[in-house]
Amino acid sequence: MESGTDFSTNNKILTIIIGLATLLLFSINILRNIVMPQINTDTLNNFYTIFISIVLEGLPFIIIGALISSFIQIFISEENIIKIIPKNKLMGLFFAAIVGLIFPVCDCAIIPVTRRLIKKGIPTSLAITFMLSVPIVNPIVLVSTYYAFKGKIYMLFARLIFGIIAAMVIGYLIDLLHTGKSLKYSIQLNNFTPSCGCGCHNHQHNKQVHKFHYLFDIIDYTSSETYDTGKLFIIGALISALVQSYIPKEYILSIGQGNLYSIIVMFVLAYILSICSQTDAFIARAFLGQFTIGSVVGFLILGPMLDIKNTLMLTGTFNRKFTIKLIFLIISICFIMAVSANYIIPISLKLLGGV
Amino acid sequence: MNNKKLNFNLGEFTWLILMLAISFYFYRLVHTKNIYMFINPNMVKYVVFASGALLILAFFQIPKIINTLEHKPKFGYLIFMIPIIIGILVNPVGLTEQVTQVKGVNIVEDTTTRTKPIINSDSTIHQEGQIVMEDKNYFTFLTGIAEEPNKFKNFKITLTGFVYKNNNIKNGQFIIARMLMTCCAADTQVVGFLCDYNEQNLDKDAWVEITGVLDTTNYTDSNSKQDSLIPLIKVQSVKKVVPPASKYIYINNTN
Repeated sequence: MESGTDFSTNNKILTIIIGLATLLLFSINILRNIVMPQINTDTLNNFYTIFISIVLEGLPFIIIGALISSFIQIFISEENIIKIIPKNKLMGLFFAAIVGLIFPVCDCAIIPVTRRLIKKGIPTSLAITFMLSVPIVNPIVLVSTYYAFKGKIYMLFARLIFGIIAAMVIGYLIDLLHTGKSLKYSIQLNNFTPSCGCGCHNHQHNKQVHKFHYLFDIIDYTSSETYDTGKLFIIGALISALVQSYIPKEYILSIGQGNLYSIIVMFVLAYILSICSQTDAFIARAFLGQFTIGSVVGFLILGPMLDIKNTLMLTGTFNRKFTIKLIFLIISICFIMAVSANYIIPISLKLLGGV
Repeated sequence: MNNKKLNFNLGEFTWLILMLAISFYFYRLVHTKNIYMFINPNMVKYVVFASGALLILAFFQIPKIINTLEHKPKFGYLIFMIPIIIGILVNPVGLTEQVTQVKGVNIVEDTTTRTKPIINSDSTIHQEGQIVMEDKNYFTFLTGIAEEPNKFKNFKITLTGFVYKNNNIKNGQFIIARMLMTCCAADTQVVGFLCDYNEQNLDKDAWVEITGVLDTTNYTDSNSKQDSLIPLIKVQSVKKVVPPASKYIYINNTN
């Protein structure tokens, strides 16, 4: 219980900085309105609407993620997890990459689950592959991608295949790049053992459990996970809404066309839009006419892996060194994937005679 | 065991209040139907779930106020207050037509390498090539017509939307636009058809119902300088209408 105090110091500084930045952004917003009363209130209104809608869309899934995470914490033991992991590393990575097919969790909910799995002893590389692939390779996302690209079923396969490969490669490389602990120090300590609300002060649950304790424990974990992930999620939603309502899309689109520039444009868009992986296909289809096919595939695989709200949630989970390496890897691997998709998709379409 | 005396934990109490407030805010949004301004009706069930889940969490939070000894109010609680405060302060009106300034309007559809037409023309289109676009079939017609502009040439079309103009659009032309929501306001796109109309100057953002004949034209994208063949509506009549109750077109995965 003593560790509870130094748990906050590291976390607190981050929260304060982020909080202050947010307040600053907010006050700029308010100041603009006071100083220039003629400014369009519509813009402000659109900002609020986008912000609230991201929260409404994401928070339920954060709670679901927290719930799954607490179930793992309570009901799945370290030994069982170690047992089911394949011994072969490549097999393990592949297994981690396709778990999503039966595990419909979106990109908001996956982070608390991943954090829990790493604490339970899953190798970091597998956990990262799992975290990156599940939002792409899950039935709900696949169905919505299918509908968005109706009649262009090859986009669905491109997203699936390139997503799986990218997640596996990133998982493999992160192991080579980073040795040692990946989680934040404070999380590693496993310190937020919440006191159970039942009034008894004996915390040796594992020994003499009665069913009621499970319920309390699950509720406790869910509550604190919701808090931990939710606060970063809300800040992410705030920043994303600000960027979206104040920076015209045309500025971003004007970065350029061409094989490489278009990928950069789509990456920037995927990053700041911060939309759920089940909806981004509908946005992507609008770009298919204007940008190269590889850049659209890049948008579809990078978006679920990395965006504004995700970045904040990653920094709240992993230590700084690891986060930087991971973000670097995600961007560069997805870039390579996008470039190769530019060449591979037209060729394979020709070979297959158009699926 | 010196914790016999009654203790009141402010941190746990704040968290309780916040969860209750968010739960209530979500519930009120659903109850007043204001939620449709923010997210697709398909997604409402998740918000209801979140509201219920937070209520349960809050209920089990109550004993912790007395039982937990060390838990100071965290700074992070402030963050959870942001959506609540905004929710209380702002009267929701949804996205406004002005959003076109930041989001832009899509009128170009990729017409290459599609193998299967979206619209099965015999079944969906009414007799004598008359297309009436309503909220329900808007998305199907929009993509279908934009895919194969030539196939629908000379079809008569009726649709409602708001007028959008920018510098790239020639005089005597405008775009009749709608906001298309997949999931939530953040992923809303503005879509529409280019229209040819010379008789009167329509105000930007005005809601109109138009009837016209479909034609095609070449449109040069301002960024890519790429020509593409897009549908064009030669407008025959324009009628001013009041903005519809639901400003958005919702994409429904199931149809």
